[in-house]
Amino acid sequence: MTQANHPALEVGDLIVSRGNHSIGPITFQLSIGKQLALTGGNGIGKSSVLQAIAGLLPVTSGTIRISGESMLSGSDGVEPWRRGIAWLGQERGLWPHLSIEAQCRLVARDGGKTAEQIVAVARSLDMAELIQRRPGALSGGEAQRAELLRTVCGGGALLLLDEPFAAQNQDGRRRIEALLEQECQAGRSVLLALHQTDSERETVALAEN
Amino acid sequence: MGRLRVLGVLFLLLIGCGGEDTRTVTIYCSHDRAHSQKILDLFERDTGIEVKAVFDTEATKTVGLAQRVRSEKARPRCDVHWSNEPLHAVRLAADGFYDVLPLGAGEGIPAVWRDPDRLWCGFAGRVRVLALAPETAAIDSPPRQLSDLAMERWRGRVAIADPRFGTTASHMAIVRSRIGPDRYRQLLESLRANDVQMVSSNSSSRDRVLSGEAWIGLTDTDDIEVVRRRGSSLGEEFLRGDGVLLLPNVIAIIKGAPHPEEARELAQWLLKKEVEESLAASSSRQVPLRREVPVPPTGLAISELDPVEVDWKDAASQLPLAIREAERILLDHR
Amino acid sequence: MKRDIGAFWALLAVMIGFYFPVISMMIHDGLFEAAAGDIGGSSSSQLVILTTVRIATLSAILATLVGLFDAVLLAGTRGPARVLIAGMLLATFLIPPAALASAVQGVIGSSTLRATIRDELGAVCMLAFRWAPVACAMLLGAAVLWPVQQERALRGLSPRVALFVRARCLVPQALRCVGLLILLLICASEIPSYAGVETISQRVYARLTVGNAAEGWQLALGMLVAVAPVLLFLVWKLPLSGRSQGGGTVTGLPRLRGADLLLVIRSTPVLALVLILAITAWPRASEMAVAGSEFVDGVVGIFQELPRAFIASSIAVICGWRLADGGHRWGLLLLCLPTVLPGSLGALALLHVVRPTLPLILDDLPILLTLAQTCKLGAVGAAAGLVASRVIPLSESNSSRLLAPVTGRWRVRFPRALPVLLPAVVIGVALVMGEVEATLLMAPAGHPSPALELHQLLHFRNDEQAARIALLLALVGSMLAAIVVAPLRRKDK
Repeated sequence: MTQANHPALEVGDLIVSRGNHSIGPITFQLSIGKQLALTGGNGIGKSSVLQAIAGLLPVTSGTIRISGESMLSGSDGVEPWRRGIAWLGQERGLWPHLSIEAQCRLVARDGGKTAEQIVAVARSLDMAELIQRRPGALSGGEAQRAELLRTVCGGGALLLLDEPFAAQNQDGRRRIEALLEQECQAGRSVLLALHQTDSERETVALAEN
Repeated sequence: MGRLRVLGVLFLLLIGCGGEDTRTVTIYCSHDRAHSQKILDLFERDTGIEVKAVFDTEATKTVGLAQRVRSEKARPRCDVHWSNEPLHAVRLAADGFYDVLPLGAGEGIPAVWRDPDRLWCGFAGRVRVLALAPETAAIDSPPRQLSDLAMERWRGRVAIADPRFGTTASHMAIVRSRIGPDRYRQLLESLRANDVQMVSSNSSSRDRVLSGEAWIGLTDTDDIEVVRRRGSSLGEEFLRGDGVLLLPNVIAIIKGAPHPEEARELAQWLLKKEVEESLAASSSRQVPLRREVPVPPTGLAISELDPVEVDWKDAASQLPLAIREAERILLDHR
Repeated sequence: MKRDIGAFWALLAVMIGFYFPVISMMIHDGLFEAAAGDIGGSSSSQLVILTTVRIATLSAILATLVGLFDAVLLAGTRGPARVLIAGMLLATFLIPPAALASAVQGVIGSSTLRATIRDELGAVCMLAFRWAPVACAMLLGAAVLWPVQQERALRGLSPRVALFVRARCLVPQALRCVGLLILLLICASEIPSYAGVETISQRVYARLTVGNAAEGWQLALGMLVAVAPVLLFLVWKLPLSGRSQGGGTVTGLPRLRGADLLLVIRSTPVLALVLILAITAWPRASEMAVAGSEFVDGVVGIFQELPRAFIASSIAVICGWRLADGGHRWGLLLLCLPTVLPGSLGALALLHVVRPTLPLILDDLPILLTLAQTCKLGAVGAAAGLVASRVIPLSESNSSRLLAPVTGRWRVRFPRALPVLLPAVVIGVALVMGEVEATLLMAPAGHPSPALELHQLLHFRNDEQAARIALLLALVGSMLAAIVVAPLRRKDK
């Protein structure tokens, strides 16, 4: 649902509350086909901002527009599944009762990848032999890549990824970077939450108010 | 959608396939299932009419079958009501739930045990008695009437079932009807002052006497007979001072019954003297209302008991008040 | 709005089966013409309500404490015959209350249960004895489904400290358990009557029996007012659970000899109860043939009832889960209310209001009975739904919310909730199989009812057959529980 002339994501003066703690105001934009990283120390609120954009955390004030559409209209805002996003959380969110392939096919129902594309992406992440397994049979690093695989297989032009490189060795990182680059070339936009990033990636640094 | 239609038709066929040409009759029965089932099985064999029975349970655990009859007024499912105590049946008759019994039903049963409008008929009943603990003063000089239970020597040694339910409630209503509301309240207050033990049922009252926790338990003859046949020994006193109180079983036909013809047949059959004889010989030791019906050696003959005559309609009308006052005096002050 | 409409089907059963007929009956019986001050009846009836609440609360607390003790030992240690012990502990719930109370009373004697001013202690002890397995099942389920990291952290502690931490962490679920048990016990009448204690249900029956329905409703509403805080507590905020996958194997669980001994001691009264029933059930030589035939009839009756009980229980639990999953707290409250009131009230209302509108052809089917019993299990469904929706780790739940609602709910969250929902269904099946109030009023003639038959047998002193039926019910219930729980057991991979 990308509309021409609108950025993939616009966040304006966003304030998010988590318990007694307030994060923001934050303002940034993400163009179509680009990557942007939110950086900052532990507990600064990177994950909270991502969850708020995904519709998984309530917003105190500010604006969130995805492809030009406001996500905060109505009393509860637009529901997560209608926002045209794919979200990878910091904690394991794989569903233990389904194989990785079944989970990918489930999320791909709404305009996501085809079966062949799922296998191709799995291969690029060195997961091809593992997608028949259930999450309980994967190591920590494999589970992390599996969850990224599932996220990428879904529909949604905007990818929200919280620490996608966690528990990855150099080869794993390289594969993930390559995958993200491929997705951006296909027209998707990527917002990441990272502890630290290399200088090549555009960043927005969150700081204590 | 097509599959759903087929399933629906199959479902209707399945329900419909109940053998509509088999004659059936439904009875709601409060009498002991073990005995009444045998009698109903005999009826089935004799007549070929299938009997579908719903049996009652202990009154304090749920509202009874009488309430079920009331709640089905708009569309009765029951054909015949066999109640094991008369007052609720009399109230149902007064409220228009019963149809007239066929002429000749209960032939030989005296008029005092029937409704003058033929809406119900009594048969084979049980007697309100005191169960007495053996080897106690209760056996040596037992109480002869209810008011004796308030004597000092019986303080804390008398057990009475919840007076709001079952035959105890009927007993209270009949007493109130006979002695009047003031004397009734006085009686209740004297029982309370004498620390009477309130228990949940007649069988609990009997069990208190069996275990020795009470010397005297107000109960029914069938409750005593059941344990006697199992080898327990209990004394029995018929409260002749008040007049022996016999509570008959009652048969009635439900108005608007789905199978009226079969209902009349069953009602007539149950009111035969052979059924009274069978109940008299059973472990429920019912008392036949027809004097000519033989009773076994351990049984009770109506001629020996000479039970008191009761104004059933008046007693039934007193039931709610009797229960209310018993609750207030005996239960609320515990 | 769409969300609320989507959840409405979960309230359909309770609306048709309870609220519509009950409100119609209340109007018909003139309840709303009575003054507000009449709610709860006279002052003496209000005292009975207080007594009932007191007994229900004390029993619920005691049952939960015992259940917590059992759950912590079973979840936190390993040892021989644990499955057998768990099955045995379940027996006191699966044996119908009338049989349990009758057996206890037969051995101990009714006056020995008496204490202080009234027989309340006896009633509390027997109710707690019966319902402790339900508390154990709820808390054991919560303990076993802990996140694996938390479970592993516990195994690094000394066994006694680990047991204490485990118990402490179960406190929020234990409080919910107390709330649920209070709702389930508030209209208990069988066991208290055996202990000689009057509860409000008996007073309601007394009013209904003589046609004073309006006052019966007043008393019922009084009960509702008395337990309103518990209802609100049960369906309101429940803290979210762990943050990663659940499960864990038995590797690393400590072996404590003291725990083995305590469980054996804990199982002894249950074993005694089962032995008493078994001895009572054994027929005399002259009655073997009759007893055999009665036994076979009993087995057939129980298995005939089992599918219907399963349907009623499943509907209640699924509806409760659906409402909890959607965050519909008011819906959960509505689902809980029918549990509080005596079953006879709801059943009579259904018979008066709904039955006349049904086609005649349905009269021979136990549809209304199933509906009434489904409504009565509302609180079980609500509690199970709440716990199940909280047991799923937040990260899994969040990722499922990115799917279309129906897909996320039924393909992801519902299967994840099954470890909690299935045991709740088993509890519901046991409750339906032991239910007599609605059964007496609504079961079609000739419909098998083991619980009703058991009551009748006990009342007419056929203790042997009553004991046989009680043991059969316990055995069938245990088998069902074993089938349901086996896949959820911790095992070494």
